[in-house]
Amino acid sequence: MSTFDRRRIQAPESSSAPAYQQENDAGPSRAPTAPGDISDHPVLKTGLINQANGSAYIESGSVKIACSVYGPRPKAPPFTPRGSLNLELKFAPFASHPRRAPMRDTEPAALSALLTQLILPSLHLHLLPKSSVDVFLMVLESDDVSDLLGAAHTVATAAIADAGIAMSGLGVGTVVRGQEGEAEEGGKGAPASSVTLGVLPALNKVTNVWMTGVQDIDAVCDMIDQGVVSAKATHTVLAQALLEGAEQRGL
Amino acid sequence: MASTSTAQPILLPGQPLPLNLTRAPLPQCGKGCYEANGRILASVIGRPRRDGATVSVIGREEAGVVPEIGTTVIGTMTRLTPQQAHMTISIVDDRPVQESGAGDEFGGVVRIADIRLTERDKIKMGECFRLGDVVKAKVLSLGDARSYYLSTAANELGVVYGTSEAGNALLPVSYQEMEDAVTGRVEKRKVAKPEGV
Repeated sequence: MSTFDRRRIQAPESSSAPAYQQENDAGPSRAPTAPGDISDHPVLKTGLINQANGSAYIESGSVKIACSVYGPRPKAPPFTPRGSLNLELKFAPFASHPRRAPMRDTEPAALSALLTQLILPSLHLHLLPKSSVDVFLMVLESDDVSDLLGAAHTVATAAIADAGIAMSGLGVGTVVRGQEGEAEEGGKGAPASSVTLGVLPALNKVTNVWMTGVQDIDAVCDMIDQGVVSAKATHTVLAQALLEGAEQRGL
Repeated sequence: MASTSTAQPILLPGQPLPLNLTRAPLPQCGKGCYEANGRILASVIGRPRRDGATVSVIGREEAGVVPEIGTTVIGTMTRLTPQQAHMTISIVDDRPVQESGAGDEFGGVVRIADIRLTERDKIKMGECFRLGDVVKAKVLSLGDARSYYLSTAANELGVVYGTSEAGNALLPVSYQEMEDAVTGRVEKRKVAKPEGV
């Protein structure tokens, strides 16, 4: 019996989701999975976590993330002439299906590193010597990693802007999905590809590109262009949410 | 007037400042904005304003702040040696410093030669600062990993509040004396000139 975690009451080994009636609106969120789809327009709100310097919450498709930002605050030695960004992405155990084990599956280091690379180019860290900006993301629901990164980028930007930390521009994340590849004889087709972009629409710049799957170069370039265009829509939603949050704070 | 900030719209990071504020001669970038490709763009959420030759974007009042060269800081004395006075900085330009998760703090050090401008060779640390004094100082440089280099060599810089040897509050009397509020006993400090005096 593998009782890896003795501090908690373990969830049952197997469980099934409750069955909903068809006509009821309630139920788990559904993600857009048709090929060529671009992420749905997200819903964003800032300022929900009072004890943090800045915070934001996003619901985009089937992804729900809460983000809080602390900073700029003093950092221990070694001396850094520029500020440092510490970003931590954590999953709630109930965030995906099947359930994640606490402490073991809930803190993927690779995703935190990827998201740091998406956000870093847009921050003015040279204005914050010897200080650190700490960004904490808690994923409440997510089934797809690409969707997750795009939404996480947008919500982290919202929270950092809410905290009043200087940035070159508002960075948004977008995901573009490609067609599934041709099926070879007797085997499965190439895995469906997706391109996750970090875009600064106000400056027409891309901060980072992350691609999964198999796809032709020309198709990938098209997907990147498509992503840059769709980022503008997300940017509008983000700008609207930040303006509402600023007015609510009485700026 | 162009310097009022209430009428200006809220800008977002990456948004260019309105043309009426960036009219020739091109202003310098102050806080909250930066220059890119000949345009001035906002870098924080806030309202823009122009003060003479400098344009800035005024963001949230509660936004975190970091000591910069030339800013005025207020801190508490934590360690005194004959050559240096160490303090932890808690306020920068009238804004509080954010608490760090691991308890790290911005430290500052006032070297003996930077305490005052006159008779710098005859300074005794015990007659300028004591442990626990609340001191107003100016940032000279970024210093090293642990502390900023600070200076109290001005009339309005120095001890703002202190505790006497008897444990009572100290009130300023002159630039180098403070008196116990209860017993009236005088103690020597490098005193900051109170505002409005």
